[in-house]
Amino acid sequence: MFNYFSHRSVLIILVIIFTILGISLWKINVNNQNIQINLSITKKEASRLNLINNLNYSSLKLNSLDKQRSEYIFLFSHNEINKEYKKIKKILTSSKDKYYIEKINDVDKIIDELDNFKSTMKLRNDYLFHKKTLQTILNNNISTDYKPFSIEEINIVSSWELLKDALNSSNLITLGELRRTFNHSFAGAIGSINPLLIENRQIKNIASGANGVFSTTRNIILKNIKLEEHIYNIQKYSFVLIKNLEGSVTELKQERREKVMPPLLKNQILMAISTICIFLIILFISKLLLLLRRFNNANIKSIGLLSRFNKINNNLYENPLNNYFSDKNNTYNEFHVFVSEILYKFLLRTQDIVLILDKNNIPVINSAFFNMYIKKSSYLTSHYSISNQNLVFTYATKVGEKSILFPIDYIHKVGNFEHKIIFLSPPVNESKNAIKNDRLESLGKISGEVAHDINNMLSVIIGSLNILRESKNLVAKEDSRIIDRALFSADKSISIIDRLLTFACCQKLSPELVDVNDLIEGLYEVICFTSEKNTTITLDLSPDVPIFYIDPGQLEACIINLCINAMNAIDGEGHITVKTSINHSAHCEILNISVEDNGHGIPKNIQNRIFEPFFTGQKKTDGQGLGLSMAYGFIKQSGGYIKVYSEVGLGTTMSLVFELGDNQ
Amino acid sequence: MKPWHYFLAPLFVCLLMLPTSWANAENHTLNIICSAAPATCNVLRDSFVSIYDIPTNIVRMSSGEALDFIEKNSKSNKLTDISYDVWWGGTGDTHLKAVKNGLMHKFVPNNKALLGWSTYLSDISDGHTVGVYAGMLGVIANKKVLTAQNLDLPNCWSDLGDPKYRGQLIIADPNTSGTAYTFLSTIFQIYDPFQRIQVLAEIKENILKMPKSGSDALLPVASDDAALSVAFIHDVPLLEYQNPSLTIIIPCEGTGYEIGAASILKSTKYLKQAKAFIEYTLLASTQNILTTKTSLQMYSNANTLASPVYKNRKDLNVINYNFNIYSRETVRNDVLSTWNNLGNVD
Repeated sequence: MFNYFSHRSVLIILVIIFTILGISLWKINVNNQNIQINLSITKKEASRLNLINNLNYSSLKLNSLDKQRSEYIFLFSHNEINKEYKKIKKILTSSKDKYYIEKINDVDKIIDELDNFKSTMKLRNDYLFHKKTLQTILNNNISTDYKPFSIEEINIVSSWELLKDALNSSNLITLGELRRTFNHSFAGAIGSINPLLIENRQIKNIASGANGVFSTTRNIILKNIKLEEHIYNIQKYSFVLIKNLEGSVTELKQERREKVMPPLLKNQILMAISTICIFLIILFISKLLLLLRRFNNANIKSIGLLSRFNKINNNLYENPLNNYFSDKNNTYNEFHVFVSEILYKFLLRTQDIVLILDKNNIPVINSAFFNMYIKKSSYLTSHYSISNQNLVFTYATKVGEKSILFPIDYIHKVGNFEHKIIFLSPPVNESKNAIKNDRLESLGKISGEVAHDINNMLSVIIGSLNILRESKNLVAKEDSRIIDRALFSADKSISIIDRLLTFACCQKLSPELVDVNDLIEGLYEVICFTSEKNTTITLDLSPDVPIFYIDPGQLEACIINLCINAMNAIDGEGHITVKTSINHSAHCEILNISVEDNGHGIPKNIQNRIFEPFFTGQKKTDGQGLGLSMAYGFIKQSGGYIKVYSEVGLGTTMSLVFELGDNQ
Repeated sequence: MKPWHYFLAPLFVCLLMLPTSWANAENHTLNIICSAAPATCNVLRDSFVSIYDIPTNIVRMSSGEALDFIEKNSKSNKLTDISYDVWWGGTGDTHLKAVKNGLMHKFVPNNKALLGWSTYLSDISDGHTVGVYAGMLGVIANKKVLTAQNLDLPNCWSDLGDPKYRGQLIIADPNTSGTAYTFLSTIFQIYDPFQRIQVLAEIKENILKMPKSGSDALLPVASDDAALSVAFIHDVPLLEYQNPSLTIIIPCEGTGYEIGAASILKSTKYLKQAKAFIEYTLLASTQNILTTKTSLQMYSNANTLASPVYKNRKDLNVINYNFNIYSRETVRNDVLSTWNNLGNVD
């Protein structure tokens, strides 16, 4: 009876305690929910505030970028930033708090300033375009070897040079002084020009257009000042908004916490109960762990193995073990039972080939995994040998003996079972690789030399055509059109030559510190614009990618080329993923910029030739087969290499790989 | 006598009276507040009077004083009964501040040969003021004093904060001096919010004393009593003539500049004459007199001779000074309070 009573009473007490605990926790939960609901708006607002800092940062960055890229990146960033501010506005509007509704005006001001910034930017770009035209006129309308033969003409030529300087002025004071000097050196000489000389007539024309040069430059400078002003205003309004919202968040938190916080004693009791519960849980877990440890020490080894390989975080490609373990006809020995569960899951995550040998070096998991390299029917006998960190798979065919070299990545010995797990890297065919590299090297050398010579000759052709086009003797419109056509073709040839020079690593690079993720984000719109409607573009950018020293223009061109190739490989619906990642190797970090597609893939027999100039496997485009060659040359010149993985029918992954040393 | 002859007499009388009325109109004195150097103000008045024959009275005030005077005089309890017509010279930001307070009359000059910076001021003030001269800010160093203490010349603004120049620097008080305010706002425009505080704090540590005006800050350096100062570089050649140890340094980060402005006061009673005066000062011929005789600034007409100070100078390393922002009262207060809160000069 006593026992019964005591058990019953203990049970009742326990039930009461748990009921109280439950009610208290529920009440706390309700209170906390109230706090959460009350603070949720402000928390969201606070998280949005980070965007303001991002905005300032990106605005400042925009200002320092060159015109072409800044326009793209700005338009992209502008939309993003604008969207975020509209979200902030929505949150403020949804808040019932009068204080927050009043702040909508501040956000409106920022949005207005952003719009003003955008329109000023567009205007500035118009002037920059005009500046480019003026620069071309100034550079092309006098031959560089023209020698002035009088003091007046010397003055004119020097004032012409002043116009070039004026176009590049960056401030109003310099521009003003150049204008003054121009007026003085030109005014005295213009009257004495021989109007019959063609050059002099051209100079006179330029002089009359000098106002255009000065006013265009002035407008660019003024627009720059205006842009800075918009940035200043955005920063100021953002700062005020941050201060107001941050202040209000802190006040609100304190105020509401004071209101809804449970009494001190209640808290302490609840804390005590929670501590006991946590203690019991820990006790339970530790006992469970003890049991587990007794169960099998070997498991810990496998966990160690797992952690060592968890760094290899690549996608799962076709792995023969996948087939092996799913094949239920295989006989599982005790070793298999040990490795099956954990190792199988782990192996699925790696792209290494795994060979499992017993104590006599006889494979437990036999040649199934070699099937992806050699068809079993194509060889008669085979054997393995391990030497110098390599596993050589030798097989005899009707023609003779052949071998494949698999570099050993890691050997794990399992003592209890006298087995070895050998992790192999994909096979290397050294001779084939060497031939391929030699071929590309020679092609590069020849292309470089030829391209250089053609480039020189083309420059002469373009120069002569320009002079001819400007000649006053040229009256017929048809003649001008013919020259324009010739110039257009010459310009196009120059662009082909440029790409050939890049392939030959002869292009002069202008590396600078680049945020690769930013650069790819900036390209997103361009890639989307060039893609078909039924192709989805995804960016998967790792936040760990460091600032990298590389030529941004060439890298942009390279990524766009890879994306265009990916688009061409897709028939119908498809997706392209531009991905950045950082992998860690033993001696350095590896930056991987990859473009993945699910297109038709590259057949194995042409994979070795895709980087050759003018080699193209595309039928539906009019590409010249220089995109990948250019990418190859540029990446090689920048100290990296390109990795290609392609499966016919599944897709292609092109990876730009850079090993990051200390200097990166 | 024919009937129409009767009309001749009143017509004749009217014709006789006309010059008298013109003369009366022109007898009204044109009152000008001049914030340029006294010599410049006097030359301008004399040459204007000699050509236009309009009685002209010039009062010399510094930019700050002029702004203060105009603001106070626009209120109901006026400081004086004299109605001022033109404010000529003085830093552009003070003129812009007066424009923002609605104290200036709209006036866009007809002169088409004005340089970009001159019309920039007109643009941002919606045609209420125009730039007449400009001058670059620089660091003025006394090589003799520096050599005596085995010190190098500074190259950048940030060098002025180097502890080796402790007690060698004289900068005017930005609260009262336009030159010093231009220096402060230049630093604000060059450095980001975090860097600027550090740079200014270090510079302030090195200041020996802060006189009220920019010219007073230059004198101790000219008299070998201090090594470094900050001034508009066109003020230096005259002193350089007396003391060849003086040298001008354009800081590596780029430097700020002032635009001297001219505006017509809203309270003017002689708008036509006031416009004539400003148009006269914008002529190349007038500005040539000033740049050769009285002051060495860059003048706003493209056909005016180059100032000997800036002529052949390759280092016009100037920032795009934003007059619109730094003339705002709130911004000015922010800039000054940042400086004032940095700690006191001994």
